[in-house]
Amino acid sequence: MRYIFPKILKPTNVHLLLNSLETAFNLEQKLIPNIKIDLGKVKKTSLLGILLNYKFVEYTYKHYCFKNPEMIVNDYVQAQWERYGFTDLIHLFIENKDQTEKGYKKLKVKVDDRFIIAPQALLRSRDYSDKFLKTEFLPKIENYYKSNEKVVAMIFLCLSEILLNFWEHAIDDSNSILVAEGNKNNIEIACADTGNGIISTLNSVFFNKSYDKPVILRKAVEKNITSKKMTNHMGYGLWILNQITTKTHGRFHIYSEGAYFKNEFGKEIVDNCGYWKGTIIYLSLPLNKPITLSDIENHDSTKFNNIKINWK
Amino acid sequence: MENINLNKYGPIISRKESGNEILELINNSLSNNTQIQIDLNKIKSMATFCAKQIFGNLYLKLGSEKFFERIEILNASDDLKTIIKIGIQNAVNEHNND
Repeated sequence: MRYIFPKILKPTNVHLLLNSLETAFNLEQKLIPNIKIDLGKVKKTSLLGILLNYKFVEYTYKHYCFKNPEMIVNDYVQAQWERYGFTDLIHLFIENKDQTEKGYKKLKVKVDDRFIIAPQALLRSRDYSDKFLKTEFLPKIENYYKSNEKVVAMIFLCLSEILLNFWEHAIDDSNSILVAEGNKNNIEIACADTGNGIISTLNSVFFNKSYDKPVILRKAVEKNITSKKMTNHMGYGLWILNQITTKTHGRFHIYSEGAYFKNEFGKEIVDNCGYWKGTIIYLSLPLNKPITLSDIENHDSTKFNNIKINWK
Repeated sequence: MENINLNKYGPIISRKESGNEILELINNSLSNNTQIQIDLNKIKSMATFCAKQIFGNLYLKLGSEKFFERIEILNASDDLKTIIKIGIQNAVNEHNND
């Protein structure tokens, strides 16, 4: 049996990739022999494509889906693993050494004049993630975009909501990886896990209604939709990301458990797609007209103005 | 007046654990001081969850007048002000609908 990655691994055709990978998520502990993970035909990829490549390898190895699978890769794919910092991590799995935490610690933020590439493992209960975020990841992004404070504010707002979301829904320490790549005109942020997906967590909210999966994803980006009512969760995170995407004419994709939501330059689409256990979020924002929360939320409303705060 | 500087949590506050720590810090300070200052100088952004967790909880606990009298918030950007207001508004709405 062969899991074939498509020639082009761009955000526009992630659903094709998910279609070809979905059966693996039913093979936990099955140790199926004679499996080939075939990336031999990949000619073009992106940070999202490489992230999903890594997460698929990680999931299938950690859950003993295959017995000694053969991975077929070409020079281009190997160069892309190197570019995005995943070479060591993938090799740890191929060599059957589950030392991912060591590998995660080798992830480095790369910056040059034209690009910043920042991979980050989200290890919830370790100091490592918080320290790396504060000392490497966020300062380098801030420094790269220092000429435009509003760009930094927009990126940090998005990262705050994405990080919170993935940290809160992670089921163990090794499930979420965040990657960001940007230049002066655009930034892409992608995060993927193989934990509890948005569809499963939101199903509890709609327990008395029989929504199909794409409808649940469309509802997930509405304001005040949260799986955790009466807690500090507000259901604002995905709504904020979607609003920023629409106003900047960017792209925002969510893939979870057999469905997707896409906001492509302001046009929203939902549909079914191949199953992915967990959630994938992809955000691509042009930076020429940055938008922040004060541009979105209507704070002239009477209710808002009734809240008196002693700002100094 | 005690000044609580949140620099060490910056540049973004996006973890429930950090929110809990900050809330505890503020509550401890409020139990020993009539007025306190919370300095957000190095905070660039905050998840709306954390805004509700920290400021929403304080607002409900103290009530609107005491919240205004006892807590000064320093160096908040316009965005942080909006995030904090959203957090408080959501906590108040939820409390009123309970």
